[in-house]
Amino acid sequence: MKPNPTNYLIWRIAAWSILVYYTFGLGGFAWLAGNFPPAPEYLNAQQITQHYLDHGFAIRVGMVIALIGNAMYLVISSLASQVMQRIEGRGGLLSQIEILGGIATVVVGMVSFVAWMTASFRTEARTPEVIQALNDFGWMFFNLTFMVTLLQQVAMGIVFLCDKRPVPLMPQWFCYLGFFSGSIFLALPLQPFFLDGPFAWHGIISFWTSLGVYFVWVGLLIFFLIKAISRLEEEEKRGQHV
Amino acid sequence: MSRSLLTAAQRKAPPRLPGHSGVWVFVCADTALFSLLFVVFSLGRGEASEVYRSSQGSLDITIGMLNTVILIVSSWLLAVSVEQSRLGRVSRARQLILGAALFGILFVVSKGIEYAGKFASGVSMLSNEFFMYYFVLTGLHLLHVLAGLIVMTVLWSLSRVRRPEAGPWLALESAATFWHMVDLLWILIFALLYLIR
Repeated sequence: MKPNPTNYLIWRIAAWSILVYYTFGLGGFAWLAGNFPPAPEYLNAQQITQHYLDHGFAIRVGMVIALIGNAMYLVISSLASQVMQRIEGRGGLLSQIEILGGIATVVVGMVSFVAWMTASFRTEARTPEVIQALNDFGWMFFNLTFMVTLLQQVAMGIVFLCDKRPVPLMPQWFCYLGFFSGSIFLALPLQPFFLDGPFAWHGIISFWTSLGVYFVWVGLLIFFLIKAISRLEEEEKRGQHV
Repeated sequence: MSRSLLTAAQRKAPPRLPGHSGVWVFVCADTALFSLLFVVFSLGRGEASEVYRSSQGSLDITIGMLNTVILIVSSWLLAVSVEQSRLGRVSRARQLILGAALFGILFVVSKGIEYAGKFASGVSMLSNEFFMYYFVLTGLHLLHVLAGLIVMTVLWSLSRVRRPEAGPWLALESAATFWHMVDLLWILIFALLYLIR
């Protein structure tokens, strides 16, 4: 039995879900919850509790919105995996690693956002040590689980570099940008050892550089995925479908 | 005659970056990241120059120099390997990749000895700000060395099945480009951490 043809309209809608990821994710996490810049790692229990008391409502709204946007990363990762399978073959191992990395990255966001939301919920009824522990846990989970995203970037880079098309679906330099983004993540394990400086969770490397490059990488990923969808559609029409 | 024609053709050929063009994106971005770390380090030294100066005094310049020589030799071997591969001498190129990798391993060993010495004298990443940068900069650099060694091992095993007439080997050129960056970064780290007072 011949399978139904691929519905590229659904693929395109999946790609454009990046808008929800960006606006809800960044709007909720960075802007509303006041993580731009984040409350510094060196704050003591009283100071961080005061931060949650002062911004509790905005943090809760921000986290609710960020949780919605965060789930769109699952859609983006599935789409990338589908495009990868057009190079690697159906059910390819690296395409599987990519989607699994995507799912795990979504869980990273979910758990961290819920931790920060819990800290902002009934703050006045909890002791400062509990608030500090929740806040610390959120950042530790957010940063120290970087390997799942790094695996995703490496799997994607390898598959797209192995594309045998005369003009590959994804440019080579984009694959290397993914490797670079992953290599910045390698500095994140330093976070638990320093309360201040470039490797603290609010530092220039751990926060600004690693998240900045990552968000640029995601944006470019979608840009090139949208272009790849048109080419795959063309290939299928010409009967070159893998 | 044919020689002059070839030269003319070569002159007309557009200039080409060695390796995948994408690897240069990585090289530029990674160098920018290390440059950022160098700036942050220099700012820190400006604020606490006494701590930095006394800590720097405990670093062994001889082992740092040795590290530099080891990496330069390794880079040179890989560069010659690229040249040999372009000339179609695959087995020679293969031996040179192995040589470059062995010098890379020597670097890892010498770094391990240096770290062990520091730990034995009770110095760690948490001792002070200078040693935080010392361990972080050299540690991140060491991860690059390990990544390079993995790539060289893969290329060395792939070179077994490579045909001599296959033209420029972009993967080897890319690896050599990356390896030269690792070399350059080490020279900057060496100057910044060990030498500049």
